[in-house]
Amino acid sequence: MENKDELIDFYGYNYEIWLRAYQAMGRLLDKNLIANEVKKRKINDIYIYGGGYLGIQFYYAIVPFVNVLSIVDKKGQLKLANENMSVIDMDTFRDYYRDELVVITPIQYYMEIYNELKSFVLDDKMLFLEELWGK
Amino acid sequence: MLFYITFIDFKNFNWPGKERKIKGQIKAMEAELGEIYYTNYSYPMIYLFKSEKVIERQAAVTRKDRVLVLCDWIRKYGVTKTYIRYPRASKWFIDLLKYQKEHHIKTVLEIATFPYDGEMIEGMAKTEDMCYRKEICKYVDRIATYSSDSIIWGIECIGLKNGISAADVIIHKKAKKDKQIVLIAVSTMIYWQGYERILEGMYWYYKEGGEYDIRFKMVGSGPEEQKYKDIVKKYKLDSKVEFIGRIEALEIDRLNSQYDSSDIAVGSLGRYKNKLDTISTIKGAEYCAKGIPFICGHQDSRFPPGWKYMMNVSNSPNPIDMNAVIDFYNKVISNKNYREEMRDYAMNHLTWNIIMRPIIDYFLKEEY
Repeated sequence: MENKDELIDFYGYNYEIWLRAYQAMGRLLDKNLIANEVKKRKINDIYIYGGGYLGIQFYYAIVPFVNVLSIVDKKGQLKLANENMSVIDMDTFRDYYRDELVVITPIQYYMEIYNELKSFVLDDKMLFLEELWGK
Repeated sequence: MLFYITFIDFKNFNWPGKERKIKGQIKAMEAELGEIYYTNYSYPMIYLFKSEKVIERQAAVTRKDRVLVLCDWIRKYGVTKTYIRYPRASKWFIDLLKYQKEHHIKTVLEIATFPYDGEMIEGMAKTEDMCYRKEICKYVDRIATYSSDSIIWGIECIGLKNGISAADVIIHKKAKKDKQIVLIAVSTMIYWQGYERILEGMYWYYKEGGEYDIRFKMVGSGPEEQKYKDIVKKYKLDSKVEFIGRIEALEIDRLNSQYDSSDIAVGSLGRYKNKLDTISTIKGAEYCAKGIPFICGHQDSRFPPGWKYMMNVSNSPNPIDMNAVIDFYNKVISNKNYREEMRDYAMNHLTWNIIMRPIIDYFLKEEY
């Protein structure tokens, strides 16, 4: 980083991302919220995109209410290893995918993931994690 | 090509008046400047619209992402002019302006309320805005404002007023009952509306033996709603005050029927709370076009001083004197054509086509 502007750009950008992630982590602790949203949206089978902390936490929050088909991760691995969770990479996901709902969890990469998925996942089958509770 | 850039969420935000205003401004500019694309933002997606149809959508989580997407669309669609509703200054907003300047894009920045420091909560966003707004003068050509300022941050201003799309506003009709006056307020219930002044005025009127049947209908909802309900309870005004709740933008007939059963509309009465004396509200223009006389607690430069169909009360926390309201109303209705006169005034002074004229002229002026 060579100047103050670049520093502000870096910290400001990351602050917004981390704030969103922190708030999302908090919302995921609210079991009633998740249960109500699942019911309201009539969600049955889902893929969770992202094997990071948020993806794993989301898995724990939603698995009592829906059938999680698998976690999809670009590298095909989880940030915290867990034998009970199925995790697949993008190529495998492309082969398996049959029009189910995909919840995208890595806030920092929403744009990239959205652009990557839109070639084979319909817009109304993609849900950004925070859209689950309306923000 | 002109982009109307706004970060307001048309789908979810509950200020239908603002949506009507934005659409009215776009329509007025489109008539002379050609096709206009407009943006809005509903976290985490930013949208580009053309005639109410989404033509682009992109995920954009942060302000930086939004600016990157906007610059990308500006490039893609060969934009030469932008009209931006000011979202408060930040490093990334300055980046957007800088990008526009470098690409010779003519820019008008609309600042709805100025000064606005009183409206911002102390904290990071306010500090950020105070730091970065100093740079705006380097990149913006004109500021459009509803305030009376001719220069803001060293930038020449174009005066704006809130207006109406005439076709959207139907003149009201009311069968008058003797010795009854029905007041109506249609708005989001925010602290600067100051409706407690009406409630307190009603309390004092009846305490002093007032004979008129004064009623107050409150349409809308918002953070002050509970406070108003508590005041109504405290002053035992339950039989006189009706909380109608929110009426959606599309429920035009329902809203019109509320107006049709009212005599006087109530505008903002609490602008002293954010230290504003002169403003022009969307509601004021709509009341005028409807032909319904109104009360407001601030100066409104769209109407001549002492205009007979607007009752200007003090910009203070004092209760509204209901005897003065009764006198005002009786004076208004002594002219049988008051509705038509108000409507004509609105058509001649307050339509978006007239109000946006200086902006259109500015955009039409010599090339950049």
